Amino acid sequence: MFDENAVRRWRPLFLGLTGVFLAMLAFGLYRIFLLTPNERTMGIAQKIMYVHVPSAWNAFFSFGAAFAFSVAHLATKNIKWDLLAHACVEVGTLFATFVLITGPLWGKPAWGTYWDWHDARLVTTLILWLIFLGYLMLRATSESRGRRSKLSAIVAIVGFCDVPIIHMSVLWWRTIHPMPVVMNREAGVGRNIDSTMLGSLLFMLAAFNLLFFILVYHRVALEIAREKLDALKSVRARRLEEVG
Amino acid sequence: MSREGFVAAAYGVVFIGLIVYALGLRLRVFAARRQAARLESDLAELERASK
Repeated sequence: MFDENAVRRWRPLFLGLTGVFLAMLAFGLYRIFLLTPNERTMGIAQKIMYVHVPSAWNAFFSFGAAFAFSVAHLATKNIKWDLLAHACVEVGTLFATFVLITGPLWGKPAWGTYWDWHDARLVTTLILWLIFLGYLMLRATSESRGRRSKLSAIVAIVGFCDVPIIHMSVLWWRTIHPMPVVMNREAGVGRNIDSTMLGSLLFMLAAFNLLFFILVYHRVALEIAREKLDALKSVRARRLEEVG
Repeated sequence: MSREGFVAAAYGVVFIGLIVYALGLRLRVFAARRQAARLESDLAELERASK
């Protein structure tokens, strides 16, 4: 998937996957709004969970993938890993943005407030978003390619360390976020939630995860197109110098 | 805002955001490829002129 021909070869597969994603999304929304019951205390506001949690999962998954690709890049100096890490960070930042918007929109009807600076999960998620926003800014501003790749790989590795902190924050500190609902050890995994709700949540998680791969494919295609453009620009500059 | 309003706002942000990002991504790919094609033809012209 790292040259124009490969992008073209993979296109039918990703077009098919886009169709599968759209069908899953339509069925997922049908399930959420017509088949899944409302939560007892939050009512319909709890339906925000079906986009908030999959967005969070996708953000963590993206940053996890960026972490792995950055480690591979630092170990091998292969630019392909850097390209993939960049694509994952951009997609992950998009989903982290959704988390930071849908969270307060759920928080207001559920807790009576959009934001609480004393809540460890909210603040650590904001820090994660800022770290990866910094990553994208670093890539946009840094001139030297080697230096840019190395520095951004380090930022991705350090930034990912925040993900387990976010996950554990509800156990380590007092927060207004609930304790883990699905991965609840005391009640048993998946036993602390209505089975229809769990089914809808897992279905949306699968759909969003599929979307992650589709978006990364298109982001890689963009980077390949830009690489080709940069190469052509330098060839033209050289030719113009030769011609005088 | 009512609870339904918060739900609509959350779903709206996610789906409109996804559509805007996906369209933007495709447009950026299209723009880069178009510019590359133009540069390729420029280069071919330079080649012809230098011969």
